[in-house]
Amino acid sequence: MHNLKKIINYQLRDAFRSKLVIFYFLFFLVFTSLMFRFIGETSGVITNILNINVSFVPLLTLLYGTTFFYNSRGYILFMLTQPVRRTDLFLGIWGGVAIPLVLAQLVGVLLPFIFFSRLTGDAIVPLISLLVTGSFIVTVFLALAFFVAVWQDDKAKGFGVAITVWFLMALLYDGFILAISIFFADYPLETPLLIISTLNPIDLARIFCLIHMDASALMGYTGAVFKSYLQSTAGSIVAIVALLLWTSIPLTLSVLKFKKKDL
Amino acid sequence: MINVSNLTKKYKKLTALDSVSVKITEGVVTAIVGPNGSGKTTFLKSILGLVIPENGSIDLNGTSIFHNNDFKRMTGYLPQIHGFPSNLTVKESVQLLKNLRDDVSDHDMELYRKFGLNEHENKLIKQLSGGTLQKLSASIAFMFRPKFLILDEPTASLDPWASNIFKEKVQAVNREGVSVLLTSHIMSEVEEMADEIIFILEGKIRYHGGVEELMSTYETPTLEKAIAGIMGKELKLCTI
Repeated sequence: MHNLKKIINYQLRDAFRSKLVIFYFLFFLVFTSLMFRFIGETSGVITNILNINVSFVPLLTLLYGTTFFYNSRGYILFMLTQPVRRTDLFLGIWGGVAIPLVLAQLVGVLLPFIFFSRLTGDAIVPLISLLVTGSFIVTVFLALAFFVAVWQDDKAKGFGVAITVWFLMALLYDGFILAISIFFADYPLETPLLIISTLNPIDLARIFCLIHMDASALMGYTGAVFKSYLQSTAGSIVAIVALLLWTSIPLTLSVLKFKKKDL
Repeated sequence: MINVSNLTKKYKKLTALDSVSVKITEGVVTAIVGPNGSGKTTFLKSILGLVIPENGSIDLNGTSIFHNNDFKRMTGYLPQIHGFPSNLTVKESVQLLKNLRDDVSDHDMELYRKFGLNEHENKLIKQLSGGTLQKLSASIAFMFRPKFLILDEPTASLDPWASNIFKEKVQAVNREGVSVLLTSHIMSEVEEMADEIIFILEGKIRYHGGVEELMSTYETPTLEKAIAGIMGKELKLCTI
């Protein structure tokens, strides 16, 4: 734990000078500011940022995470010759990438909200749910990126797997849910759909956010079921725990593999 | 003494090390030589704990060195390719390692100063040339006053001036009792620096002994010809 903190500390210094982290921060800052300029309405701005969070952020995080891990091979190899536990090194590197990305997104979104929006009681809950789910999208997909990179030594294959993961979760999964709802339209699908949605972090984040924006009315009866569940305290806790598991399970499996990996 | 016993490492169907057993004498410079793909990198990585062998053991005076941080604290390593985060400065990279190895307070900064790295302290790693990075790696290998030095192709990116300083430093610490394990493809360098040679071919040790002894066995004036002699004998090729 002692070394983990030291590694994260220096990884953070490295990451905060990274062009990608600066670009990521500026992107959210400019995008959110422009949304306020052109849309103005807080819920509309949140919806547009949510769209970025569930499409662009997973892909960017997956590709950045895998690239970072592959490019850090020399560093990983050298650090393992130092008196450092493999678990500390792995989590240190992951934390050193995840924390700057999360902070860049949080600050990049939050600053325009402070300057351009009147943060009334109605806007605060949707904004918090947007920021929380956005942060989880980063940590989940960064954990998946590291999982891919640890298990797949070949860089080209690793990128292929990362893009496939994004394609399955961001695009194909929704088609799968749509197919289920069409084929089984005569059956009560609310509960199965609720369960299926929690199995995909992108859907879970999207629904969780929309429910807290009161946009569930647009989702019909299913939306009402989701709303009654996810807007309740228990439902919110389940959603947060599910997103935590989506981060911690790939991360734990990666650490287990990394501990026995030949470098 | 580092005692390697029955070490076997396989990568899928390829056997990189095949029941390797060897005792590495303390206080001497031992060179590991062999053609590309012979298993010398796997051998070094096994000692450093970077690869996990299927079978066998490596111990230092009776204590296993696998996942042994005490052994790592005693070891200085110079990798072939540098391993520093590109957006850290030289000073920060050194500070990171000093923080991780806070058991040593009296750092050996001789090579760091001789290589003029003080002038580059505030530069980012990505702004340094390959040669300067190698100088940084080389000076870090000595910085924590190791008892064992593991050097992987140490002079590959160094200019003749830096290479000479580096070799003098290796010889100086060796005289103080530091054990050195190195790999190199430059046989004149091995001849100049090493006391003993471990020759690996197809994952097996084919020769372990003194440099002079090897050259006199093959009756050649240079180590390069002696090594060519072993390879020819082992691979049943014609000697040069």
